[in-house]
Parts: sequence; structure tokens; C-alpha cells
Amino acid sequence: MDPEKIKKLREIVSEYDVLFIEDNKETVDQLLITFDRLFKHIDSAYDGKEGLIKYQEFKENNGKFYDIVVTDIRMPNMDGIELSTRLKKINPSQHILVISAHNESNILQKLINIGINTYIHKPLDFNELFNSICKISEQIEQENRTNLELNDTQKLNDELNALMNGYDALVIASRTDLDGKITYVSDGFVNICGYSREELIGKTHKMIRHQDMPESSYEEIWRTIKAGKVWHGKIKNKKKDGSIYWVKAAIAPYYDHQQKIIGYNSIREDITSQVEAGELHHKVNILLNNSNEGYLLFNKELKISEGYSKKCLEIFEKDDIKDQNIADLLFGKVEDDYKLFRKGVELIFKTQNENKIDNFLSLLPTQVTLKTKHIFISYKYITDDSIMVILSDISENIKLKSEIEKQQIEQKMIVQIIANINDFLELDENYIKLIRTLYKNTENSIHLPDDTSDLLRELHTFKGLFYQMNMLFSPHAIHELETKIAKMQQVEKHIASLESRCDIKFSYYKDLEIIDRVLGKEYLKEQKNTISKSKSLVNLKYKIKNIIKQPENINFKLQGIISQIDEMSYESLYEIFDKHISMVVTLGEDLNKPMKPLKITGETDIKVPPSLKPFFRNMVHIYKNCVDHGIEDSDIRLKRGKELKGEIVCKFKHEQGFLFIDISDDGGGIDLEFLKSKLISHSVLTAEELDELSETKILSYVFYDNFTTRDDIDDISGRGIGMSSIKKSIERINGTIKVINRPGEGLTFSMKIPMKKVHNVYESSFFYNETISIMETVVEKIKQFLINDVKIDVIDSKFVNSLKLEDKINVMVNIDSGVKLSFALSFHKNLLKKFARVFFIDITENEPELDKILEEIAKETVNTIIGLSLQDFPNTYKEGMLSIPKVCDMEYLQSNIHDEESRVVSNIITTGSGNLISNLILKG
Amino acid sequence: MIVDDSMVVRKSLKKLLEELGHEVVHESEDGRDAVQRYSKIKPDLVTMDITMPVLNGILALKEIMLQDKEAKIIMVTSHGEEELVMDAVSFGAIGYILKPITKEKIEKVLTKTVTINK
Repeated sequence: MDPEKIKKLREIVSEYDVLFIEDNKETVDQLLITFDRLFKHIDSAYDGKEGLIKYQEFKENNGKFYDIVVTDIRMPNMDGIELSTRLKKINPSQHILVISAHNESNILQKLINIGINTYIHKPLDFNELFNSICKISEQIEQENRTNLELNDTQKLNDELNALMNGYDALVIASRTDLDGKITYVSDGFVNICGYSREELIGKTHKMIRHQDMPESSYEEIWRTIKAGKVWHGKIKNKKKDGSIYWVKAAIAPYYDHQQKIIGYNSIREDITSQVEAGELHHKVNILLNNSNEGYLLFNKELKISEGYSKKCLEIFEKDDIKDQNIADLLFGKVEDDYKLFRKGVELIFKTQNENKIDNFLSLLPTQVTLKTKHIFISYKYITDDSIMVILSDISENIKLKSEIEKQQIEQKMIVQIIANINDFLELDENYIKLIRTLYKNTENSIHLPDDTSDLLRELHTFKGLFYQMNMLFSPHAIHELETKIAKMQQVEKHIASLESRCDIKFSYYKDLEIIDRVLGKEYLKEQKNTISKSKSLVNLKYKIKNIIKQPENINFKLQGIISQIDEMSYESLYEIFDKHISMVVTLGEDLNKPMKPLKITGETDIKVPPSLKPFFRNMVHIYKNCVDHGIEDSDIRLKRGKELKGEIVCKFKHEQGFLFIDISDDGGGIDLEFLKSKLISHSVLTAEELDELSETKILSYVFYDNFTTRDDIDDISGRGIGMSSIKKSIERINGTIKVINRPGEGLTFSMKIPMKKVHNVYESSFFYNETISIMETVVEKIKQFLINDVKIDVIDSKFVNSLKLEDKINVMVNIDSGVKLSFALSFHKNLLKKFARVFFIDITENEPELDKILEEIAKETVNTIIGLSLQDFPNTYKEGMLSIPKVCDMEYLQSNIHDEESRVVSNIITTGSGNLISNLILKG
Repeated sequence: MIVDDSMVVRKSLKKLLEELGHEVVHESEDGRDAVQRYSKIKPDLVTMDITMPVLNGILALKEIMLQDKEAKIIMVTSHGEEELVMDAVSFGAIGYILKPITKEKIEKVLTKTVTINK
């Protein structure tokens, strides 16, 4: 043993209290002498009984036990074994050193059973004794240390328990046995689930299980913990009152000291609020994703952030729009809106001023058409780097409207075809011929000729004609075919056949189907058999009547088409005068004056209304007059060096709203002196009166009632009624006629008839389609204005061909968008008075400046209405510059409407307080 | 102060503003007159048309804002003038009324003006 250790042990044992029990007095004395200085205090006893008494006395007197008891085995009264057993009962941790004389195994066994493992043999070796005591002291020291530690652990445990008790209310903890029966629950567990501890103990966790949790998740928990692992996860539970709570749980097995699972512990954390927040977020997402509206955020760079709603993808027809440019996506195709949007967004991000932001947001464009979708857009400012966009697909709402429009388009086509049935039939015949050539006998492929240039020209013509017929499918199909042929030609010079997707045959049949559907299958067939135009006109009126039996709004649209149909009954001058060509020859034969056929020149394609027809029938009187009086007899003609056959020429011209017709013959003209003499002899005028008249005036007497230069009356030149009936019939249509005399060379009847130029039907249908749609928008706004703002009923609204202008206040406004459009609105004064209210103006009974105020009201009304209409105009006009409305007088308006170069659509709205006439004037 | 070249608009604005308890202190027919009179009258609020003869609404607004940074100007505008209104707002207009003018619209923009004042 090393001296240091001995030294340390001496120090330790010097603090010991020791009891010696030995029946041999000699040995006791020896021990006392030997160990007196080694221990703090030594007591001695001579037998077990005395030792036990001393042991108890020492405890009572000192409050502690002897540190070591050294005892002999064999002693009187009470032996060492008995004593040790008793002492151990009193103090189980008592250290006892036994001195035995014999190495008796039965004694040793007894000693071990009592818990004594230190003994020495007799005779006593003091060194051995000392060593043993040292060992014991070491043990004691070890025990003391352990005790100290135990004390600390205990203290820690107590603290922990105290803490745990406090936490018990917060911690949701439970313990179960191997079967899952609850053996312990924390206060927190009790508090959250609503069941009492008594209700829970002995039950399983099924009590608080929520039906939403799948059976499989419990199976997984059991699998995990039975395998000795810890299970982590979220569990949805149900409280006693049925409400829901979510916990994040850790479930672990717990073991006995032999590492055997004897139950399961679980600690849970209440995460209900988190889950609910998550669920809310999830729900909001579901809501957003299932909403009919698209939500997205974009930043300063106009880039779309992640986290847009699904609908956005549908709206933009994209798979992903993250980081894409919102302006490009929305307004890539609308230059003005694109500019406005970019400007607005830039201004929004530039400022911090909420008011400005509000203003800018409200000025951003709110509607856009993406392919076939109509999107309504609203905006919300989120942060200084993001704006939310809400996109609503309003196509469905518009769909109904377009259904009606589709019907209207079909009707337009039908009307156009009926109106031009003869042209259409001819077109039909030729087109079918072309189709047959192209398809040969095959069903699906088109066989192209070597040289496609003729075919392309032909197709192009058909396209144009079908387009003018307002046909729905064919023009587009032809266009596609044209494009395809042109493209293929670039690649290869000769193409024999073309697998054609752009099936012109199919498209044409689709168009024909519409005709069949609307007009009946027999219609086209019948028409092919009936060439007579008059008959088809009767038919037309009948069909139109049928079409007009439609809802009011369609009817309204048809008004425009009907005026077109009116035009259709117009005939060109050529058509009318064509019948006269041979008539002149016949007249000549009858009067024995050989005549050439009537020559028709000038603007022969001018269409004239049926109202002029009776007048044109009277032309025959002029021809008769020319042949009878103008054309000289053959011998005179030869003498004058003229052709034997006389000639009458009709020349047409349309200028400044007037139709000019000059009918000239190449006869001898009027012999003025002869005329004068006749006038005197017929007692029409006296010689004196004649002297004061100009030549023109005198010549005009050829139209005088019952006046004829002839003495004899024959069948042809009548009784002087002819020329006067010409005069009368031309006056009836507000025209004039004069005679231009070229003595010896001929005579010209020059007629001037007021007539608005009517363009050929194809041209005018183009014009109508667009202008009527513009006009309709305006009329619709006016109606809304009247009904909603002025609060007066609209009795009637119709499109009209021409209007008699009354005394009204007229306001004109121009829209210049390359094409010059003018609107002239004419208001009845009574109506304008009603408008005053709308502008919060009181008009007193005797307002001195009434007209001025009414004019101002009219101007503002026009401003409002056209301003509101502008946004609904076709794009070309939408961007036009709107002029300041100006009041104009009747003459100015009239000159605009009757301008040769202008085309006009008129509408009249009738209300209880007077009419409102709108004229749309398209210039150039 | 009302600035508008249209007599009807002036009348209706005046009527409505008075109905809402305000006093119309001056009516200008063009922007030049408005700018000249503003400094003398110092009105609490100006309604400003955009398209006007002599000096248009935007330029008039700019000049007035130069005189008085606190000027409260409301633009009176029609459809199609959105870009111009944006300019006006960035130059300091506090709001705008889209024609046709109604009492509700005026009330709304005036309420806004009052809150901005605070």
C-alpha cells in the first residue's frame, strides 16, 4: 500500500468511532493500546449483549452509529453472528469486521447472508486488522460519495418532479400498458380532451380518436412502437364535446430494467391552431384554385410571382406563368392598353401616396380579349413591390350575346343571298363546276393544274364574291386554300394533288346547309327553276317577313338589312334603258326613219330607286319626239352629209346628289323661227311676247300642254301630250328638264333629277355591316341614356334610308381614325328640355337664352353618348380622335348628308317628347 | 372653382356642388383664366376639364400646382383619357370624375379629398 494512501486513510479513520467486542480481555487491551491513536474513539464490550447495548447507547448519545464494529464470533451471551444480524437490522449499512478463530465455511456462509463480507482470522495480526479496517474505510468513503450523489440525484428528482407537476398541466402526456390501456395521463391531457382522468385510465386512446384518421395510421404507430422505435407524427383527435384538436405526438416504448417493453409513453403538443391556419391556407388555396377567377401577383419588373391560382393558366393557356411578363400576357395584342398598363404600373410603384395609387389602379384597363376569352380585370395593390390581378372570364356572359349575333350573321347571309339570288345561282353553278374540276373524282384530295395562276385568280374572285354574300364558311376556306397553294408553290413548282384540310367543298356545303335550314331545302332548287327576278322578289318579301318574326333586338338589326333589300329593288340605268335600245329602232321603222339602236353611255351602272321607274317609262315620249321631229328625212340627212340612220344617245352622270340624263339626237334641231310661228298660230304667245323671251325660254314651250309643231296628228307623236307629260313627271320627282338646241346638228333633252347615289349592292353591304354595327352601339347608348338617365320611354327605334330633316338642334362630332366618321344627332327641342334634368340644370318658364342652353345640353349629350360608345366601337374607330361637338345648322348638315362622297346610316328614335335622329356619316 | 369649357358641365357641377353644401366661387372657361384666377381666389377645390381651348387641363393643373403645392384639383374626364388622367394624377391631381357626372361620383371624390386633407 502506498504511503500516501495510508496517510490519507489514517486521516480518514482518525475520525472514526469504533466498537470492539471481544470476550478475551487481553486481546481487548492489546487492541485498545494499538488502535487508540488511530481512531477518534474506541469503545469495548466483552460479549454480544453488552456490544448491542453499547451500540444503541452510542447512537442515542451521538446521533450516529459507530463507523465500524469489530466483533469476535464466539462470545458468551450473544455470539458475533447473532449480534451482526441484529446490528444489520438496526442499520443495514453498518460496517462490521468479524474476527473468527476458525475457517468454518458454515460461519462464512452465514456472514455473507447477513451482508458482512470482511473478516479476519485469529490469532490477530494487527497488520491484517489494519488492512481490513482500511478496506472498510475505503468502502465507507465510497458509500459516502455514493450517498452524496444519491442525495443530489434525489434533489434533482424532486426539483424535476416539482417542475413536472407544474408542466403536467401543460404537457399532454400519457402512458399505456402493452395493450394500449391508459395507465397515466397528465393534467394537460385531461384538460385538452375534456375527459376526466378517471374516464381515461384503463381505456385506450380510441376514446379520443377522430374518424378522419385512417385506420392505417394507427397500424403504423403500433408497428413502429412495438418494434421499439419512436413514432413521430400529427394526429387529429376528438374532444369529449366532439370538437377537434390536433397534436404533434411522439410515442415511445418504455422498458423495465431488463430492457423489456412494458408500456408506451407519449408526449404531445397541441398544434390545433397551426393546423387550422394551415387548413385555412389550404382552403383559401382550394377556393382560389376552384374559383372562376384567376389570381396572381406581379412585381415591379412586371414578372408574375409564384403562387398564382390555377385558373390563370387556363386563361392564358399556358403551363406555367411564373416570371412571365404580365403586360405581355394580358395586353400583348392591344397596343394602347399595353401602353396604358405599363405607364400606370410604373407610376404606382414610383409613389408611396395611397391616393395616387388608388387613382392609378382605377385607370388601368379593365377588359381584354384573349383569343376567344373575354376577361374582366381588377387590380389590388398589395405591397410596394406587388400588385394583385384578379381575372374573371366573362366569356360565358358574352356567349349568349354572340349566339344572337351568330344568328344575325346567318340572317345577313340569307338576306344577302335572297337579295342576289340570281347572282348567287350563277356563282353556285360556277363554283360547283370548279370544285368538281379540283376534286376530280376523289373525295379527299384536290388536284391542282400545272399552272395554278389561273386557279388562284379564280379562287380569289370567288372568295371576294362569297364574302360579299356574307357567307360564313366558304371565304375562309378559300383563303386557307389560297395560302396553302401559294406556300407550296414556293417549295415545289408542280404539285399534282393536295391533301386538303382546308376543305372548300365541305365548307361550301356547310354554307348551303344554312340556306337549306333557314329557307327550306326546296328553296335553292325552286330558285334555279325560277329565273324571273320579279318572282323572286315576291318570294323574297315573303321570306323576309318570316325572318322578321324574331325577337325585337334582332328585328332592330334587320331594319338596316331591310333598307338594303330596298336597295336591291333598285335597278341600274343600264337595266332600265336596255329595254329601250330596240324600241328606238322599231320607232324609226314605224315612222319610216331608219334608226340605229339607242346608244347608252356614261355611268350606266348607277342604281335608281323603283320610285323613278314611272318617269323612265315616259322616256319613250322623248324618243318619239326625237325620231318624229328631230331626225330629218333620209334625203335631207344625205344632203347634210349625215349618216342615213339616225341615232339617239343617252348619257348618264351622277354628280352632287343629282342624276343627269342627256338624251340627244343627231337630227336637225329645232328651227326657232318655225317654233315661234307655231306658238303664234296656236295662240300660245303673241309675237310681242315672244320678242321679250330668251331662246331657252322659247324652247321650253315644247313642253307646253297640247302644243305640237305638227299640223297633223298621227299615231306616234300624239297630240302634244308627250312632251308635257315628260315635264310633269319630272316635276313630280323634283327634277328639271331643259332643251339644248343645236340647229342643224341635233337636239338634247337635258334632265336633272335629285337622287342620292346608291352604290352597287355588294359595296353597300360592306358599308352597312360595319357602319350599322357602329350605329347600333350609338343607338343603344342613346336608348340607355333616355331610359336610365332621362327616364323617358323609347317608343320606337328604327333604321331608315333617308330622312326629312326638321327644325331641330343639330350637333355634329367627328371621329378621325384614318377613316372619317361623323355623327350628327338632331334633337327635338322638347326632348332636350327633358335632358336638362340629367345635367342638373333648371330651365325656367321664360328662359331668355333657352336655345343657347339647349344647344349646350345637346353638345354635352353628344359628348357623353359618343364618349360612352367609343369603347365599344371596332378597334379602328376606338382609337380615333374625337372632336369637340359643334352645333350646326340644317344646311350644313344637309350638305354633309347629301355629299356625293359620303355614305349615311340614319336612325330615328321616337319618344313621347319628340324624336332624336342620328346620322352616321362615313366620308371618303 | 370650376374649370370647363362646356357651359352644361359648369352648370351641372355648380348645381351639384351647391347641393352638397359647397360654394362655387368662380367658373373658368379655359385653363389660362383658371391659372390667373387661382392665385387671387385660392379656392379649396378645383374641378378641371382636360380638353379645353387656350390652355388644356393638364397644363393648367401643372401651373396651379407650381403656385400652390397644396392645391386640390379634381379632373373631369371622359373615357379614352386614362393616360392623360394618369399624368394629371402624377402631377398632383387628387382624383378624377369620369363623365357622365353624377352626384354620387362627386360625393365620393369629395369624401376622399376630405380624408386626404387630414
